[in-house]
Amino acid sequence: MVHMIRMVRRGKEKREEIYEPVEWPPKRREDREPPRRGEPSPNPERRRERRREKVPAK
Amino acid sequence: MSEGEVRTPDYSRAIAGARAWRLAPTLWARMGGLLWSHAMLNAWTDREEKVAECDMGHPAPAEGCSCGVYAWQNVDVMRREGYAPKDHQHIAGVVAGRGRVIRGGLGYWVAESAVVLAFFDDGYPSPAPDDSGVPRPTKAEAVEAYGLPVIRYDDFNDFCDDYGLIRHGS
Repeated sequence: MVHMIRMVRRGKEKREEIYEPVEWPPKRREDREPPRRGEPSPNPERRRERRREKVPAK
Repeated sequence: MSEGEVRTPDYSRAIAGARAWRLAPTLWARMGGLLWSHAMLNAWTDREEKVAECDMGHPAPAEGCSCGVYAWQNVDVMRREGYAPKDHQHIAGVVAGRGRVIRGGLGYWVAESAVVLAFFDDGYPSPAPDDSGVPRPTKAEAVEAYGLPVIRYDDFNDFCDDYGLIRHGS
């Protein structure tokens, strides 16, 4: 029976990633509490992505 | 990386997945949970987060070991690989994974833990109870026990987006 699982896990694998959700268990968008004024966005990786988008110096 | 070193998370959201289970085939199995792995190796306790453990004593998942919580990265892969239910004894659903995750090139992932967020309407409803007098768990019973929505395969992407999950491969 263990053989069955090993059959699934085959081929090339990516390096280990870490998923650390701010919200757990995940909730539907409309069920979440709206962020209070002045609080940071609960989506840090999106902020990181934005910071990477730098305009080259002229 | 040395042991004890804290790694920065790659994502601050959970990973989206689709997977199938076998419904507990006996009353004894039902006591462990309605949802069992295909191979009947272990059960998912109803409504609880499934946390992986390894008999070898190391944290799951790990390279070179089959331990961990498995899912396909989307519905298309699950169907392509032949894991979508084609009878009333199996049920499939949407899961969210978290913690350390290893993604395979074939479209699966193995995580430290996962929760069920929805079930799929697969077109194979459980039949009415037979005359044997032995109650068998049904898909409707699983839906009710978990208190989760039932969605179509086609709604997978929208559902995951609604729940803020990270989708790969679709």
